[in-house]
Amino acid sequence: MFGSGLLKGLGITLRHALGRPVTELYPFEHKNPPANSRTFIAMHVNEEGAPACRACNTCIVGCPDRVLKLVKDPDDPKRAVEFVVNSGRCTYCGLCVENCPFDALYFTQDYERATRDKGALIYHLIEDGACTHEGEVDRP
Amino acid sequence: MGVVDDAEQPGFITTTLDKLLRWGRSRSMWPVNAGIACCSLEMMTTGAARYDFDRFGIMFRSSPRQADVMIVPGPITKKMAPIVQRVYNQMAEPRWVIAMGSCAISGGTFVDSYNVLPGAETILPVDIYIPGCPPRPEALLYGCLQLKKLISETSTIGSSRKPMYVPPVLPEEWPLELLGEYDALEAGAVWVQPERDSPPVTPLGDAESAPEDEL
Amino acid sequence: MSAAMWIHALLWLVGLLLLIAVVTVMGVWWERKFIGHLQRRRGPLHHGFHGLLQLPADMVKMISKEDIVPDSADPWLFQIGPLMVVVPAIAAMAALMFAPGFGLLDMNHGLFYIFAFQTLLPLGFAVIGWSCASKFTLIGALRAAAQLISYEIPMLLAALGVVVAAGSMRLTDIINAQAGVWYIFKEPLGFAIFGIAVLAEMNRTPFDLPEAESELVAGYQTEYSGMKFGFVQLAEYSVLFTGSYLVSALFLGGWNMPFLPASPLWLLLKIVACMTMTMWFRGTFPRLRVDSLMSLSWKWLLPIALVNIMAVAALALALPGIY
Repeated sequence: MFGSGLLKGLGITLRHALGRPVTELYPFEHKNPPANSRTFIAMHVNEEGAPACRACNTCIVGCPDRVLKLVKDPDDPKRAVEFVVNSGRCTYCGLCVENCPFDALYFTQDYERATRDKGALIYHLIEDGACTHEGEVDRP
Repeated sequence: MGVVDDAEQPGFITTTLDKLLRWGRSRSMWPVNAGIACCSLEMMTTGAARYDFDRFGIMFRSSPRQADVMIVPGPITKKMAPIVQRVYNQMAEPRWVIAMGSCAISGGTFVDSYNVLPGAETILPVDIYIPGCPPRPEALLYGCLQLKKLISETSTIGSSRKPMYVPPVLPEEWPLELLGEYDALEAGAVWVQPERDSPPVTPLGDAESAPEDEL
Repeated sequence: MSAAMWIHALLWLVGLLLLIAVVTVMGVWWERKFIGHLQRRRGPLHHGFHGLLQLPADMVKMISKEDIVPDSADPWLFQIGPLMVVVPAIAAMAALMFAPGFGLLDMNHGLFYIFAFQTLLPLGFAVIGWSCASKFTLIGALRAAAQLISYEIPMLLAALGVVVAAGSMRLTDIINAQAGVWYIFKEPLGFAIFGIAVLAEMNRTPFDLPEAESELVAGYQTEYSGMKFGFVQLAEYSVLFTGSYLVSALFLGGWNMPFLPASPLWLLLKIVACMTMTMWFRGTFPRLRVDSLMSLSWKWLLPIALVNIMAVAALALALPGIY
């Protein structure tokens, strides 16, 4: 019958209008992304509070975008003085996290890192031999 | 496009108008409906039912003349650069740019490629950088809220016209169009070739010899 | 004219302008909200109570936006283009009657007056599209002109059926004639034709070809920025209001309600219902193709409208008491 399809369509949209909206009210209710989502890279801390990184360079060798930088302690080759991630160029492929033989790196569940300053996207995970933050970044 | 007041101290009317403008502009950001690459899929998701841009009055307009915000969602190739630049030039002041995703921030994984610009800021004045590859819809919403904060914090008193990123000598690789006198006004003095975000040269297996100052 | 008449006209003018502002603000808000819910979204929500401050914010922004005049545009036509759309749209509202004796102009040819001014709209669209010297605006304007002119004829013929039945072009008479039975029940065919044609006259989905976003960037209003774009929007919502008013007044009984005393409230309710229907259509239907749009008007609506008016005339002659 001519026009029945139009009425059917109107009925479908009306049913949606009367139903509950599926919208998540984001800034007011946070839902954590799924556990396997790849957001930002962070460094684990071991029992002594030192970074879990053993400065083995595996992550840097595996990184396809070459966004990682590691500076070793000249006295202790198994200790990282500095570990830097350029999040503004990272593809979040997760190869560094997978490659790490010491499970020192992990992905955070944090995504609110938009910034006005491009330089703020270069995260120093280790500075002066200590973890500066685990998954937490000073937001501007 | 700001409130112009010649007096040294802005008066009551000027400051009230300034507040009103900041209120209005920050609550009605209409992005251009322009997707460049894969991040635009995440942009569409943000506009769709689950995250819903329209809650904040963010409504996609197809015409750049009626838009306020340009979301750059993807790598800008040298072929695409004149078009992106043109869309930006066609937008009416005041206007803002959001670089969404690694490619728009710094060229991302394509930065070593022969045909990709190292980030949107090569040709556009970027206001907000949203890291991610691609950023989650929430991250884009957060970036838009950061832009809202930026707009409501920026004073509109005086001329707030932003410099155009138009180089005095047009690069041959990505020929940018000069659209009339208006663009040429601010050319020259403001063009700063952004420092190329060069990757650390890390030869495989010899990571220790990587120069430290490059990242 | 006496001073009292001037004051009366001036007050009505202010009132109508206020009405247009309220209609535009509330119409856009309700449209965004309702279409949002049709798509299981929330629509404007966070600025003001359920997004009610969204439209004032939009207007503040639009007023303060840069006013771009393209280099290649005809500067004079580009400037007066929005006016040529807004003025007929507002002028057509002067003849609207909201209650018996409550309106700016209770003309004995009020319907004719409204249609006369609505006919001027395609001229404004054509001026806008031509002056911008842009492909998109020109195509949008030509589409608008073709569509509005094609659909005017069935719309007028369908309205003529009501005029024949009511025996008057005065809106008050037409509405009062429906105190018993509404014309939607006497002339269902005329109502269908009038509804489709008015939908096309208002440039609403599924007839929104002049501003088809997927083909033409924003149609005839592509080049307008800031408040000029706002003016075109204002005209669009004024036309939407006038069209909804016409459907309510000609076919849905205006301020009459069965078993209840006549009141302007019913008219307002019917207008809001008609506007909501157009928004419902917008959230549901896809857009017509240009050629099917034309063939719908010329091959279907026009012959049916002619049959309709002849049938109504014959019935009015045969059954003078009932029709």
